[in-house]
Amino acid sequence: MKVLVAVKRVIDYNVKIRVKADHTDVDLTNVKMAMNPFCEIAVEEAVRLKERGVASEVLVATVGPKAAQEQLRTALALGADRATHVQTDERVESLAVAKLLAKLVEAEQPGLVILGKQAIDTDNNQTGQMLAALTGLAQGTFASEIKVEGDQVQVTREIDGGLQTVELSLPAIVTTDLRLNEPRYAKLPDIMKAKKKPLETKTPADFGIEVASKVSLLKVESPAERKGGIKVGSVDELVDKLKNEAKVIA
Amino acid sequence: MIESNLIDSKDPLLQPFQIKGVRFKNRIMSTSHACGLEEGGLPKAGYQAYHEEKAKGGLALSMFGGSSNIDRDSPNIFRQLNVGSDEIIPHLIDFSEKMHRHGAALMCQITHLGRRGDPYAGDWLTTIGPSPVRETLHRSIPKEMDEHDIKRVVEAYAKAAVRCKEGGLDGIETLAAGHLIGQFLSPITNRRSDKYGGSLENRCRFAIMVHESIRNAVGDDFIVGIRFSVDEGIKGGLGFEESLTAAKMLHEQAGLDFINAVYGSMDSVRALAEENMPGMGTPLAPWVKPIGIFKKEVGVPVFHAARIADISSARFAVSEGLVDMAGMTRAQIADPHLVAKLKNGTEEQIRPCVGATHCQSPYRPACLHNPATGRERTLQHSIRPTEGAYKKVIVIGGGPAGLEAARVSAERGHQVSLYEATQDLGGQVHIGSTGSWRRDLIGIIEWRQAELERLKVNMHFNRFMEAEDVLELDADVVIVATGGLPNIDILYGEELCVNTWDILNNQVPVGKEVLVYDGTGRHPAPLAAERAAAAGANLKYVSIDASLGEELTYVEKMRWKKMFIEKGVPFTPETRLIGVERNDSGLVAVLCNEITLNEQKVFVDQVIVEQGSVPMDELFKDLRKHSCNDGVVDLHSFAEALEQPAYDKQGFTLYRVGDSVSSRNIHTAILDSLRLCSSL
Repeated sequence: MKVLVAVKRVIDYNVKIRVKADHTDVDLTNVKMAMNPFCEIAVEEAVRLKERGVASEVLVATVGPKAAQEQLRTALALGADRATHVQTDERVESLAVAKLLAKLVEAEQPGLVILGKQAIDTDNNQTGQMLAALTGLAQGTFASEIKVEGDQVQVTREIDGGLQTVELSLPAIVTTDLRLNEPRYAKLPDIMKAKKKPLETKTPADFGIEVASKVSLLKVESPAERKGGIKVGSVDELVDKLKNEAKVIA
Repeated sequence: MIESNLIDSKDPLLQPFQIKGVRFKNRIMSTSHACGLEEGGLPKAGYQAYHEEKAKGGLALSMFGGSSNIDRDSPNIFRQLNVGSDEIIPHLIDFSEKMHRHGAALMCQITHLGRRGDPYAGDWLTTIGPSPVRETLHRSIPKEMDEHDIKRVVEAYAKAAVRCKEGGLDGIETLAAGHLIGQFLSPITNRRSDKYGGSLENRCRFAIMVHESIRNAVGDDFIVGIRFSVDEGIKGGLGFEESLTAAKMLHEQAGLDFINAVYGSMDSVRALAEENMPGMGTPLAPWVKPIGIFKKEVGVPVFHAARIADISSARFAVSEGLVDMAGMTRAQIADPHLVAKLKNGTEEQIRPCVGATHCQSPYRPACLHNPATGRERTLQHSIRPTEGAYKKVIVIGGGPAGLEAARVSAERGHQVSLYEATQDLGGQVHIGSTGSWRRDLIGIIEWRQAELERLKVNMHFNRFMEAEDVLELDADVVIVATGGLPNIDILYGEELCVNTWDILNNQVPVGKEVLVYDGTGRHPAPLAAERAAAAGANLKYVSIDASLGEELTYVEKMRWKKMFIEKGVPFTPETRLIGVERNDSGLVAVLCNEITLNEQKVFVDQVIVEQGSVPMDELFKDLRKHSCNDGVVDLHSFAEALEQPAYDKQGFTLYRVGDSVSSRNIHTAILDSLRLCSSL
């Protein structure tokens, strides 16, 4: 069974985000980029399926600028077999990505598509679901466990009330949640070998998909600065301030 | 950056302190240590330069000369100064002038080692002590002192103190804990039945005589204190209450200007490693609470060091009134300009002490990640900007060597870009610090990362560079710092073995019956064993060396030994792994004892091997022919940190640093880059 994994290039989760002086966007100059953490989990799960003999091939794909190839190379170093780069400098929306991935699904016919549940920059949590709708495939989102048995997959989902297990017929779409697995590090020898694995570059036009965004980004602001606290001298003073200044008690 | 005068007026650490006529301009000091730079028992140019750097950095008080010897039967066994002869006085005069010029006070530690000496060193004189009780760490069984010895030693203390005064110093401290004064104080080492033994009052008599004698000789203005343990912390030793009473008695009768308080005993590796100078993986400032109680009771100014490794801990100790002066000795070995950075609002740029204890090893006082410490005459703490052309410098590899090369080159003013193959910086340091008590090691990487961000170095991740990629960049200088890959070198069965990095990176799951083979005596093997033990493996540890962690500092060695004992890991020394074979039920490790040459077979399901690393040098080799220097480093210029020769040809100069040259350690990786790039 072929497994398709989609990954996204985002700002590294450790970076302290700065807003541009003109508030048009987040400052991306010289900022450390990385694979979206939930996408790392998706790659790890696919590689584990291959190690277990469930998957025969892992194909990794991304939609993004030229530099996004770094993330594809990382995925190849982690165990993916080949990569497809849909290159665009546009700010792509979830729907555009889902449409492109749907075309890939059509061309590659994978048994399983694994994506991160959301990207840590946009936090939309839409692409996997939209992809399922476009392809008409079953979806198991927020997966904390995946079990492939024959032509079915059991997905344990993390939901508000606890855990829910669904059984989907393959081919299916799965999105990963935090507890699904702990991704491995890419080893240097594998990073070297990954340079020789196939990576093909395409454009959205090759798939006949329009990716120009219908949403314009108007303004980006930092959250309000946390004001310093004050020390009070007594319990009475505290009660007075809570009542009359902060107005949080009657 | 915060306003400078705001910092001065509000920061508890920057408030002055006064003892008699001596003003300490802030609360930060360095305590006495035998720093390893003495020459013939004298503090000459290199010794003084090391201390002067900290004075330039702004510390208020530098105490030097750990365990300086006052008489001939206290020999030089660990690079101590000799204050038993007038020969030292002109050197002290030079030294104190230098330090005072920067506004730092200067004091020396004077002592008689007593039973802590060595009868087979120096003048081959017997060691002496209150009673003939063997000293575990330094191994001597001393002669029981008589009245003549006591009188002689008491006078020797006074004469040594006078030499320090004539040398222009501001004061001295004697040493109780573990040294002769403390040997009289402790019931374990003092079994006398005369007036110098028995009751606490009797056991204090020697200390009081010493201090009265010193005071009579130096007068009232000269500062005289004592390094004193508040609690020996061992059964039968001097406990907290008795120590307090002794200190009060000493102060009442002889007058102490300060107490340099420590915790614990001194005559075992365990005590030194866990109590005196604890390292990485132990809590910060562990003894400030009992020290604070002691200070309140005795009512004398208190100095204290012991893992006050960072500004926050020092600030806490001083502002809570637990200590008067914060001894940030190792912190200033890591960064002698710590106070200056604190004062000018760039506290976050202080190079951190990560507790590696390299400065306590035979290589002292060099800091694991500040190779300039102790080498002030050839290497710079503040890199001087270049007076030549600005160059385009490419560094390949983001481990300690690469990061240092990028940092120093950027400080020189060059345009630097760094390329790292993986997602994160750190290389082997990243591997060696994850998931263990050695977590703080990553401070070496994090400080450099912050410096590179401040210096606006372009850092590229997930970029595995090959020769074409480098040539495209059209650099002036290319520095290869690609490190190495784990080496496994046994006669047969290498492919059946697992390397330590794979275990530490969680690439390979730990087996059930595991043999760890330590072929280097460094950290990776015990780290892998720690991981295997945590995973519940039935573990056997085999080492080529006689004892565990032979290449490590005594503090790290002790820590591993303790863990192995507590976890019940069997340790087989002086045994070589010959090869590994497969049989029906798993693996067979064939071992050979290096002493008897007897072979032995061990049946396991996993063999983890540590044998250092093999350089990743393909890129270097590919680039050589394109460079104008064929990748050659001129050894003489390199060793002296002088500028590498220039070449008439067109193109870039190519150099290689760190483990990409040969498998060594963090200190040499950083030293390589500092030496290479200081004059770039």
